[in-house]
Amino acid sequence: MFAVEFEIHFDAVKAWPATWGSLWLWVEGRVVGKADESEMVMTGFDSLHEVAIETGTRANPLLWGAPLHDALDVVMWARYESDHEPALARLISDPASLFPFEVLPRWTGAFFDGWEAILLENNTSERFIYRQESGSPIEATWPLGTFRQVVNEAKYDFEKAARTLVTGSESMS
Amino acid sequence: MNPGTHDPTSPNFNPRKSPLPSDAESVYANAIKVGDREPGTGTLYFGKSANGKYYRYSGQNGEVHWSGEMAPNKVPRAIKKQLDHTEGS
Repeated sequence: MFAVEFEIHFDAVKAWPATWGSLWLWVEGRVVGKADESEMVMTGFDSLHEVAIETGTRANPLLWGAPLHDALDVVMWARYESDHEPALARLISDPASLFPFEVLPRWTGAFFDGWEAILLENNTSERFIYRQESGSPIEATWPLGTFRQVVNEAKYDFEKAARTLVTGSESMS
Repeated sequence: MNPGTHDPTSPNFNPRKSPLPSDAESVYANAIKVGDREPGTGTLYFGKSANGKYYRYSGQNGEVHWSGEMAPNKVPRAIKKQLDHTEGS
């Protein structure tokens, strides 16, 4: 359904937390992200973690009921400059109110260049809507809190692995 | 600033990566940090070169590296506005 995968690049391991590697998502069997990109892995995890801790703040009937591309367009427009004003923009009084909906690219760095994704929530489920640049949007739905749980578990596993490689200790302090 | 994997003269160079531009260091000196982030997270900066190119810089624990040239529509609007204003002032 949803997973986070990472690699640690042994030829470029540096002192924690500047450990280099790759990071990408699996969404219903599809890779989301640039799996061959090499970057400081925590750059990606920190941003995904910020998305995760905002779980429960993304109920928005306007976006929930909108076509996928309209919902994606307006959230991207809120953060980034756009050549055109998306259909829903005139209904948004404060673009910053849409910032919590952005998952990608947000601050993930090079791992997700060329990808866009948002999360929408209701009381029981969350919808992950994503696309690769210029592609058609795709949607996946899973129980509310799944994104947070999966990201937090993957981040914990990465920290444990990276600290062990660099220091020989699994200490998470 | 650490050249990361973008410096062709470094053993860490990744040939799939864009080469480090010669002005990466000087642009970083005036780059703008992404604010309003959770405490303890990494850092991200955006800068604008003299010839109008936007650069991104990523870092952890004080170690920052150039992480690519960005299209103008991939730079956060608020930061782009500051960079464009600084350039024009």
